[in-house]
Amino acid sequence: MIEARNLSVQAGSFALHDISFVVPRGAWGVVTGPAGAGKTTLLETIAGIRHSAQGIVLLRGVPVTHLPPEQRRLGIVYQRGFLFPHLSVAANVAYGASDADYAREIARRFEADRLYDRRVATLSGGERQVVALARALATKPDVLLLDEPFAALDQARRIRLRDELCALHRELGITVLQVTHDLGEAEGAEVRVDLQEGRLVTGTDRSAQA
Amino acid sequence: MAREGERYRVATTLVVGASVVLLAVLGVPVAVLVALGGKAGLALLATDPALRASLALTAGTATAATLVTVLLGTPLAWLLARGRMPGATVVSALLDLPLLIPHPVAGIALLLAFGRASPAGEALSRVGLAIVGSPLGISLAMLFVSAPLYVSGAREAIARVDERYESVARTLGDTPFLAAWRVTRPLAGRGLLAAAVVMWARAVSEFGAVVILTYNPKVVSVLSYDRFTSYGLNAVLPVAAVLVILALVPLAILRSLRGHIAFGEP
Repeated sequence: MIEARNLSVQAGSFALHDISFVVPRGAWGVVTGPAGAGKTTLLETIAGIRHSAQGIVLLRGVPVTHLPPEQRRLGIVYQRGFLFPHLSVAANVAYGASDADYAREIARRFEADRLYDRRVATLSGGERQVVALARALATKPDVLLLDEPFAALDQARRIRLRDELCALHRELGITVLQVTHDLGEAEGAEVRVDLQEGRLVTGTDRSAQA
Repeated sequence: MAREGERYRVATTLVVGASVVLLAVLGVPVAVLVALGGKAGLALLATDPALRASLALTAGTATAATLVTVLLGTPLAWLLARGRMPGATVVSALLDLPLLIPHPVAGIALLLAFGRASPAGEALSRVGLAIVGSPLGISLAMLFVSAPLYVSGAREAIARVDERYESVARTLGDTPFLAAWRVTRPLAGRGLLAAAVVMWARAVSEFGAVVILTYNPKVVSVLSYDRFTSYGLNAVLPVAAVLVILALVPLAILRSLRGHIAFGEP
């Protein structure tokens, strides 16, 4: 479960104000809004990369506001991937994984294993995102934060990988919070958090409504 | 159109002319020195044991100063680069100070703080160490005047590495130290090495602070001064020329490092 209660964050000259929402355990939530609305800032605050000025972040029903990122047991995938350029693709996928076999299996499911002997510098934008996704999932997180993970993928690959991610999400009960500009993805989500200029416009728990 | 062309030619001439003047001011003295003393200087390396000993002392003390600074200064550079340093403005000013004060003044300050009559000097002498008249004092003087160059260069090198690489590493389980060590350090590696080479080159050429603390044993800068004041220009010419030639080594290393510095995802 991912919960924010009255979360306010200062990020330079930008601020998030009084954000509250709940993504139930095992649900898929989306964050939408125009550029500069604070979507990435929100994800980073949940991940512990940014500190909140006020409010609480709860994961799995437990307050984690004062926990560092390495103790929150979640995965984050940025739009740019941020693969470590000095490491091979294989080393990137295995970076935080304690189970090497599981990491390889995840890489296979997301078609990252075909890139194993490639250098990061030679990967396309879409390939980087695939590897970044495999790297985040290889650590077996039960909370996954996605910042437009499919943006650089072509349509066919986007559908394939989204289906694979959805399958994994259902199998393992991963709680997902995804930033997206894709209206189709937003429509299908169980929870929708709409941001505008750092403020919550709507927060809808469709699973509660259903 | 013709007037535009004329203005362009005048501007180009001025830019090229100014560059030539500056490069001449920098290059001509070095070229004259090498031309007049280079051959004899290189021969001296084989025949002058005092020069060789001085070179070894200079290289050794500069290397020690650089290694200590890399060890102590890299964490400081990381804190400054990541905006985690309390009182960063004051710290940055403190780091700039040794670059701005005259180097003999730096030597006097070190003498007061660590000389035999100081509490620190007394403590050092109790364990058999001394700053005055020792390689330790030479390294200390070199460190004082050139460490800011390393910290400044290292800070820039680390700042060029997007902090989100560290953030991602932390979500994958790394502590802040591990993330900096496993991710930022290798990505900033060439920049850190370049900063260390700049510091080393500066340390090697230090005179003002060193001569206050330690006249003997002599580093090459002090040896050059000693030979000039004792025996005149002809005696020091080969020494000076060979030092300029040897300075090409760190210069070549720096050029090769700077050609390959790249950060972040390509």
